[in-house]
Amino acid sequence: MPSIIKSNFNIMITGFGCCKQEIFATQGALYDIQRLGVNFVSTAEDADILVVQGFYNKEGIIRVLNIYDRMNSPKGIIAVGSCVLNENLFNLESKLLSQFREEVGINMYIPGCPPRPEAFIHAILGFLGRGL
Amino acid sequence: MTNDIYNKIYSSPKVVFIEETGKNLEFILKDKIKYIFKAGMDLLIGVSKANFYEVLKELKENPELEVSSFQSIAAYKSGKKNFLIINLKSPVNNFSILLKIEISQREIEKDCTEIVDIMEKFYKAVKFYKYRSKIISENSDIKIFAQSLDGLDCFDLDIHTEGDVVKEAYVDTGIARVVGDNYYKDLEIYNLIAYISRFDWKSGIFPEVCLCSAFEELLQLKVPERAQYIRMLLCELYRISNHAYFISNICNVLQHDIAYNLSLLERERVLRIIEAITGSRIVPNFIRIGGVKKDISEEIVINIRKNLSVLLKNIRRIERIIMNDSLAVERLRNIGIIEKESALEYGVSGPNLRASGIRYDLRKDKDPILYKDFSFTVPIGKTGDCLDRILIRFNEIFQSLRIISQIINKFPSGAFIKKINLSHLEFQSGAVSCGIECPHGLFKIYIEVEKSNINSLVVKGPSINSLILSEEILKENRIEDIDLILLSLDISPGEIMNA
Repeated sequence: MPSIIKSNFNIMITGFGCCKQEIFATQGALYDIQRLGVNFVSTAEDADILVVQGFYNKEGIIRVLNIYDRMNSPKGIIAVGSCVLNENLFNLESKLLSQFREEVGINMYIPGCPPRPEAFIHAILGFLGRGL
Repeated sequence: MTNDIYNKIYSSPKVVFIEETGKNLEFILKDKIKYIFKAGMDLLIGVSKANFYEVLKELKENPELEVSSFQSIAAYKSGKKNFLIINLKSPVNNFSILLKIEISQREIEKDCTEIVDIMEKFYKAVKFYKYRSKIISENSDIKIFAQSLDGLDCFDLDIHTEGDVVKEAYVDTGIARVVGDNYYKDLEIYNLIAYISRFDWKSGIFPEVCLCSAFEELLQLKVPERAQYIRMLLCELYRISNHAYFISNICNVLQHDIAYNLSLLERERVLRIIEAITGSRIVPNFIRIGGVKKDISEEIVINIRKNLSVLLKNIRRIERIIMNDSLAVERLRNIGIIEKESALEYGVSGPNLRASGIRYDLRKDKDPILYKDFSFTVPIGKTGDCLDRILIRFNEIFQSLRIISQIINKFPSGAFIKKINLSHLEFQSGAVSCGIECPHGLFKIYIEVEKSNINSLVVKGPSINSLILSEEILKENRIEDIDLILLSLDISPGEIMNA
């Protein structure tokens, strides 16, 4: 039987929004995402995947792009929640996020406002190519 | 019978008190103000820019008024005119006022800076709203960017240190300014109720209850008793979930893995109950004008009753685990102390205020729901340090469990919503402000309506006041305690968005 944990899979979360507490809920004892070999890190150089969620203004987009540049390749981006999928809920005129999506190329979208913790785990497993 | 008559015909003694205060204020500030009337739970005073200094001086220095607490300041646009609205409070005489100032279209920035300069002479907290990037860059040497922890992700911190002791601290919320001006203009009212819970996503029910109570006040609508009981039940469940999340965050920073996992488990237990009632975990979209969306079935009540004793036992256990750990307690004791006077001056409310020893709770004072039916106590702390702020949250969870057990024991029968036609809703033109005691403090909404459209909507959360005060309390603390002190203030990033 192949081992579930081959090597650690490191995730970094940026932005502020309601999706964040649903993502951090997967760290708890009930969902326990760490049994799948998935860690949350806070240094860009250690991360394999960048999670983009929540609200951004111009300064926030600059910071996310900066973090993405510092990550080592191979790297990927997951967009969580309807704010990043469409536009900022509270500022529909701004076109920042559509420009951002075109610039970086997002690997996976998780819809929902906010998505459930199960949806996040499902997406991560899909990204790893197992469990789907 | 007499109780019913009293509720229907006469206004409550608190309302009479506000009206009396309004008459007193009108007499004292006779020539200096344009108009004064009661808008919901506050007094709205129209002031011109020329008289603003004299009015503030009278309000602050008159011993009969003593308006010494600064609450919030906000700018909004109504039609083609721009306004500033300033919320001040008198903690001694227990009334709060809204000062409304018109500012000219052409020189908005100049007028705003003038008003902020005048206010800074009387209220220290206003310095946060000044343009001060130059002062920050001159006085600070370390910049801490927004972090990935929930609650610390919406502001940057500039500090100046000597050794490892913080001497100066500045908060910059530039990264969190994401709310546009007119997001509410094209929305229908039922869409707005779905939107509004994003302003406080750690406990999403409170903005909805606040907004719907404001509309009910405008329509003079009496909500059925069963609907109010369901609202209170949800409010208390969300309060427990918020405080459990708070404890898990603190334990995450303390690296206390057992308590961290246990408190997240209890939070999930509460969220499961909430999900059974509302169908959603974080943003419920459950409250409607005149009641709630769905009735509660008997099965859910049995489920809640089954879970209550388990919750009480498990949260007692978490409290015991943290308090028996001398390393954790010694780390938390005597850091980030909030004094009584500064808490009142900066307008801090909620558990952070009660931790410094002031027994003020809106649920006991003038609540828009029916908390007067239940017996519960308002716990207070002694010193106002981090340990007190955590103990207060534990005690509030126990009080919430006590309220929930009383609610499910005497659930009244009857309708769960008063049916009204939302598509032909017409309001009398006017203004109303409504507040509610949310888990972080006093959450306030101010609306101006004209016939069927909303002219202006100002949402003000309590977290911003705690964040402004954090500039003061971080001083003379060590650099490794910064995370812990800021997290113990329980800042909700949604409330910072439109600060």
